[in-house]
Amino acid sequence: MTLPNEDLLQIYEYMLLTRAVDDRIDLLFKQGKIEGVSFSSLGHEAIAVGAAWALGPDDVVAPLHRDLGAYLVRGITPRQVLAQFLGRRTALSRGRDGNTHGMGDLNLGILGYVSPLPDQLPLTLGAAMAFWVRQEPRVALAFFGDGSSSEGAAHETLNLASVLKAPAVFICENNQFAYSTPTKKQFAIENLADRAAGYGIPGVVVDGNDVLAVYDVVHKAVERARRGEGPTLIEAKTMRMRGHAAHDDAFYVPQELLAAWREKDPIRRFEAALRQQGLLSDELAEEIASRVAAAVDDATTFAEKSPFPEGREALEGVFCDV
Amino acid sequence: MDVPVETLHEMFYQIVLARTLDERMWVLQRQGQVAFHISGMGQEGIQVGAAFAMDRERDFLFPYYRDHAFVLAWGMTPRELMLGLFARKGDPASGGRQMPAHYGHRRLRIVSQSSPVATQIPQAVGIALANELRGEDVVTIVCFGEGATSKGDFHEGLNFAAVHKAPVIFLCQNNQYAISMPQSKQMAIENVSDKAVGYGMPGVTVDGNDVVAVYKAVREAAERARSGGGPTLVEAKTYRIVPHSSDDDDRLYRSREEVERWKKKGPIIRFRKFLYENNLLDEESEARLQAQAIAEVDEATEFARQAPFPDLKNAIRPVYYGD
Repeated sequence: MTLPNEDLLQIYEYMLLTRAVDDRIDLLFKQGKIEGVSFSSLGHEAIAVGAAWALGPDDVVAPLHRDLGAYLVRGITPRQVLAQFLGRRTALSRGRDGNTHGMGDLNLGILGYVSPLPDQLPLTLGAAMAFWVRQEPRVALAFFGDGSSSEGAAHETLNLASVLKAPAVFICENNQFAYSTPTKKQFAIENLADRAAGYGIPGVVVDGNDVLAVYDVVHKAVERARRGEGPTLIEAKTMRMRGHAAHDDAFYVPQELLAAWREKDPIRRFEAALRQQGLLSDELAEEIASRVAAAVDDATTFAEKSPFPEGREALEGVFCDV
Repeated sequence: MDVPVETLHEMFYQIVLARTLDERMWVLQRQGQVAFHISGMGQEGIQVGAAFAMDRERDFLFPYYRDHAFVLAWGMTPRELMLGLFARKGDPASGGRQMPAHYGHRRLRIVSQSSPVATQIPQAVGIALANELRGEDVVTIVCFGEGATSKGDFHEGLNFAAVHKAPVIFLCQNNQYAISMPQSKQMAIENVSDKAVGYGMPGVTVDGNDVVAVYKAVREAAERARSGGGPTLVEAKTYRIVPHSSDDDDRLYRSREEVERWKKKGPIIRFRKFLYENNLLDEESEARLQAQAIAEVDEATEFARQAPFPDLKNAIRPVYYGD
C-alpha cells in the first residue's frame, strides 16, 4: 500500500505536531500551570498517527492518554488540547476533566475515555456492533496498552468481537511498562498478538516506531473489518519514553533501555526516510517546523487566555440534556 | 503411564455411584421432595479421572456446580451430597443455606464456588500461590465449563497464574452448552485449550468421555505443577446429556437426535467396554457394584430425608469467619 506523497508529508507534520504539543504540555506542567497529572505521548507518535490515518471519515476511534496524535489527525485542534490540559472552559470537557480524559468528540468520531483504560474496549465493541446492526460500512478502532491486556474487559471484548465478527480493530500499544510493571511481570509470553489464536482472529505484530508499517497493518485490518470478516488484534511494539505521568521519574526503567529506544525514534526515522526519497528538503522541513511551532504557540496563548469554568458549571454536562 | 487395576476398579465404582446418586436426585426433584437439582451426568468420566490423578490427601479442589462425581471421588459421601440437596443442617458446604451443588468441604480442602461462573478461577490461583509461598507441596485444581472461559475472571486467573508459575490446573469441562448457548456462539475457536498459548502455558485437549485419557492428562499436569513447572490448561471435551438444571427444558434449543447420539458415547458405556475388553470386569462383579451403589444411595436418601433442617435463628450466620 503506497500512500501519495502529500499524505506522507501530512503524516510527518502530524507526528511533529504531536511531539511539539506534547513537549509544550511537559513544559507547562513543569511551570506549574497544569493541575493534577499529565500524560505524555512521547514515542507513541507513529502508532497514534499511523493508525488514525488508516481510518475513513465515518469510522470511530477510541484513543487513550498516549494517543494525542490520533486526536489531532481526527481533527481536534492544538487549541482544544491545551485548553483541556489547562482546565479551561474552551476545552472539550469545558474544563471539567484533566489532560486527555474526556477529550472525546462524537462529531469527529472520537470516543472519550474513562480512567479504567480497558473499559474503552467493550465500549468500542458496542460502537462496532451498532454499525453492524445498522448495516453501516463503518469500523471502530480501539487502543489499549500492555497493562490493559491483563484485564478481564480485554478478554471479554476480544472474545465477543470474534464470535460476532464485529467490524472492529484492536491495537495494543505495547510500550514495555504498565506504570512500573514491566511486561515480563505482566504476561508470560513474548507477543501479545499470539493471543489472537485463542479468539480465532488474526494477530499481527508491528514495529510501533515505523509509522508506515503501522498504517499498513491497520489499513488492512480496517478494510478486513469493513468487508465483514471480523476483528484483528494488532500489537504495536514501542517504548514509553517518559514516566507514567509527569510526576513519575521512572527510576525503575533502565537508562540503557531508554537509550536504545531513543535510537529508534519514530519521527527521526520517518524524517530520514522522507529525505532519502527526496520528499523532504531542508527548506520544506523548516517550513513545516515553523508552522508546527506557530500552531503550538497560538494554542498556548489561546489556552492561557481562556477563562476557567465557574464553580457552578462543575455539575453540568453529566447527563445528555444539559 | 499404566493405571493400576485397583485404581481402574475404584474409578469405575465411583462413576457408577455418581450416576446412581444423580439419577436419584432427579427423581427426588421430579417428585417434589427437593427444590432443585443440577446434574453432572455425562461428565463423570472427566471428574473421576481427574480426581484420581490428584493427591486427594493434600491437594485443593475448586469444583464447579456439575462436579457431583468429582467431589464424591475426592472423598465426600453420598450422605453429604444428599444433605445439601435436601438443605439439611448437616450439609458440609453451607449447613443447608446454599443452593445445592455449591460443593464445599473444609476437611477435604474443597472450596465452594459462588454462583457467578468463573469466580472460582482467580480464587484457585490465589490458594495455589498461597500454598507455594508457605512451602506446601500442594497442587490446586479448578473446574469450570466452556461458558466460563468467556469471562474476564478466566483470563485474569490464567494470566496471573502463568506469570507467577502457580501450581494450578485449569480443567475446562467443555460440554458444548452454556445453558442454551452452543459453543459456536461462545467462542470462535474449536478448542478451548488453544487459549493456553496466549498465556504461555501448556494447553491440552482430551476426550472427556475417556476416563483413562483424562486421568493421564491431569496426572501429567499435576506432576508439572508439583515440580515447579507452572499451570496447565486441560480441556476435556464431552456433552451435557441432561438439561442445564431441573428448571430447564433443553428441547427448546437442541434436537433429541443430537442428545441421543452423544448418550451413546457416554463415559460409562465407554469405560465399561474398556474394562470388559481387558477382562477387568465381568457381569457378576458389575451387578455387585450396581447393587452396592443403589444400597449406598438408598441409605443416603433416607438419612438426609430424616435429618434436621437448620435452625431458623441461624439463617443469617455464619456470614463472617469465626461466626
